[in-house]
Amino acid sequence: MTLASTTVLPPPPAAPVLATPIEGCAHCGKPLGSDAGGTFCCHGCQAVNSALRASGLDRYYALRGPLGEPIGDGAQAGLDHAFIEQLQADLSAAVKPQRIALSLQGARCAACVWVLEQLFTRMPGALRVQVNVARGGLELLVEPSFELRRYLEDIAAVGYRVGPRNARLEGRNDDLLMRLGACVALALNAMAFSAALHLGVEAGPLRELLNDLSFIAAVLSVLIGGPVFFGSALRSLRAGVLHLDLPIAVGIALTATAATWAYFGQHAQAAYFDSLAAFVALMLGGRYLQERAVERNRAALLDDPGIDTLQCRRERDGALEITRCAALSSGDTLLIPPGELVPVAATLLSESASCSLAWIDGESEPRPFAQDERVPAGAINVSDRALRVRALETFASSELLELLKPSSTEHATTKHLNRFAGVYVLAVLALAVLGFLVHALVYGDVSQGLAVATAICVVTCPCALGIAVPLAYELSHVALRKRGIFVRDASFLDRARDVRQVAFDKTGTLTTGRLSVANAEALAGLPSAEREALYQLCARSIHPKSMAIRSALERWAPRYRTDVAVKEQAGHGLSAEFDGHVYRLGRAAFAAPGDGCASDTCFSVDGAMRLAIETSETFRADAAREIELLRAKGYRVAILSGDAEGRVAAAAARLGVAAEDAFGGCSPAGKAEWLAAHDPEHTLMVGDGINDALAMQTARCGATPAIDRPFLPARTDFYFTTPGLLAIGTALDAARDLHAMVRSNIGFAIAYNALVVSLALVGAMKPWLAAIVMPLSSVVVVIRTSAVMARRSRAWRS
Amino acid sequence: MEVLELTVFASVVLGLAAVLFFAWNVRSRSHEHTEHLALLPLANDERSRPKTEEEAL
Repeated sequence: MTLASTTVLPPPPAAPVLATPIEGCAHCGKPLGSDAGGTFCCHGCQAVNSALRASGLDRYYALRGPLGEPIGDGAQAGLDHAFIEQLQADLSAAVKPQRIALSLQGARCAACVWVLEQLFTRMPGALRVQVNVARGGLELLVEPSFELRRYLEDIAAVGYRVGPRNARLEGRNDDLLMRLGACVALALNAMAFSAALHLGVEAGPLRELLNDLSFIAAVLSVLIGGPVFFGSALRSLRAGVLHLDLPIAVGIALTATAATWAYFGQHAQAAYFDSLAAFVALMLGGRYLQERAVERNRAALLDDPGIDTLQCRRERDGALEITRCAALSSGDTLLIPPGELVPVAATLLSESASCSLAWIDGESEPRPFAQDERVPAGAINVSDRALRVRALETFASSELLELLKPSSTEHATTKHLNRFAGVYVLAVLALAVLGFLVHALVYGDVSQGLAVATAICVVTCPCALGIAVPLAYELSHVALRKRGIFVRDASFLDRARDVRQVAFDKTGTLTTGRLSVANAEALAGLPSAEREALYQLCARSIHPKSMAIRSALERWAPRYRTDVAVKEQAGHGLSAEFDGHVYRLGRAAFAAPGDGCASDTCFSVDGAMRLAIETSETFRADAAREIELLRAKGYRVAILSGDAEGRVAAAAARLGVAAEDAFGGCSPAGKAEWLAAHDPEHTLMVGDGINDALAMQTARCGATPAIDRPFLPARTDFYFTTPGLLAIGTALDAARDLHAMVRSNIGFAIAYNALVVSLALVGAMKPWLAAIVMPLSSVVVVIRTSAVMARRSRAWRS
Repeated sequence: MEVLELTVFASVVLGLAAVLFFAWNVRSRSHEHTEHLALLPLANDERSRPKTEEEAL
């Protein structure tokens, strides 16, 4: 595919095409915004709507309801994953039906499942399909004659992407779910048998049987559910850190010891079998919630970091083609525009270059490279012109693969909660020892001392930590997901409460990222040779203006010439000398000095003005309002953009950002440097491109609206699919509310434990009472958390 | 008393059966295919529907 034939989509049609018209985008139903000219919010939605109608699958809209997710402009890229070819080859070589498991992105509801199943059943050789929305999985059972690639192309046309199945999401949660189910059954049985004991079944064979069964159920609970907590508690102790699992593990161990002592010692006053089984089941329930929350969000994006979709420009047979990096071979000649990265280690063919290696070794200063010098994979071109390099390796052996792997921070185990867990364990142990000593030494009753110590260990339930906190996280993630905000890192909501400053990239974040040529008809007036020359300038630049002009020129199918060297002067424009002329595109002062042209982009030949080109960019409809709200809430808002300072200043003025907080002309390293010097520990960076990756690493948290870009969503804390910037304020509100909920739950836990420990210390906590108050406290904290979080999340704007 | 012991035995057997059924459900992942189950009532309906716009015409 040549550059000339890419990325041109017809404009969205003006007429509605739905059987049941809905307000907003005709596919996803999201508001179109004041700038939208058609019926769809993006080309992706338009393409999917057309494909659904052409396949007779209009019923999707009736099954789904009025609101869906926007598809985006980049999601319609060709389906060319190498792994599909391999799967198809394996399938064709098979002699019996094959099971094919894939990762699936984009399926969200029963309507999606219906579309995927319908398309599948229409294919020859299709036997069975299973769509796993929760985990983002697609399993097919097919005959060897099944055309896998065609099916995947069909589903790609209606907005679903597939990737190789990753085993990371398998296993662990199933195991946990099994343990949870078994422990819940055991707890219910133990409680039923113990109820009879508490209610006073007379001594005899039946009582002994019930006692034996209760004990067996409790022991099985510990054997099945305990290892989940014992393992992580031991690992945390070995690592010398306190972990939330520690008090749970200690609680289970002490209660199990006490229950065993009560069973074999015939101490009926300490028979806490039902409490033990219920405790294990409740803690497993909390753990399951905790693991499920983030897993679901991660499954919504393909499990790989987008490496398969990473693309670069390759010269081949005199043409420039955009190709997947995975398809690169050693010896290929690549063109690396300013701001883009070198995907594989390569030899520099251009005379000289300046590349940032900050991604690789943290070096903030760009490093100069000479001709024929080796440029490492992952280097970002910060020169003022596009570079030509020759690949020295394939992408599979590139160091970039390591760089692109998503960061792996797991689980919301924050320092303050871990500190609380440590204090909690010590307090429980100290109180148990105190209770034993008082009764054994002061009153001389060792048996009563042991009973009191046991009661303290049993009734001090870390329910706030074990179940209420994970529940609050799960509810927050679910509420955010419903608003199109997908939290990828569980610790984000902890870190986000420290945010005091939000830094935005401009192009693609505050704006929709698209520029268009306002006076495209003027291009037709240029002689064809000058149009081709203008194309040579634009084809080598990734500047949004260049891309807009290039798109406008593609209707004439201009030829890409490899013998042209284009120089890009940041903030000024592009220039090239060939065929005996000097061509320039950029600011008037750069392109045609002395002409006095007032246009923002001018094209000149030999210094003589040829054409004034007007481009316009579109701000997200709610950008100004959201920034105003963020500032009103006390957040400092900054703009860090690679665009020209004048444009950034104009955007800041329009959006209400203080002029001293708007910075234009920032390189990727420049953004990171500014953040490093301006409170990075309290900053949320919102960006949409690789040039924001360094800044995101520096900032406390990162977010992106660019779900269709390679690898960036996998490196951020959350991504959002809403058309506007509402997601930023909502995510920060959610973090604040979650923190308040966690604090309040800990307060509740302290009050509950103070009460029950007092009762236990004076010997008033009997097994029957513990059997009631412990599960009751957990139920109360669960209901309270659910009610408060539901009320608070309703207050988040949507 | 014997009836009570029989009841206890029956409850243990039922509990065990419930755990086994749950394990089977988890292994077959039916809890993750609720969307598919929700579509089952439409299955008969689908057979009588035209597949494409051309067929409808």
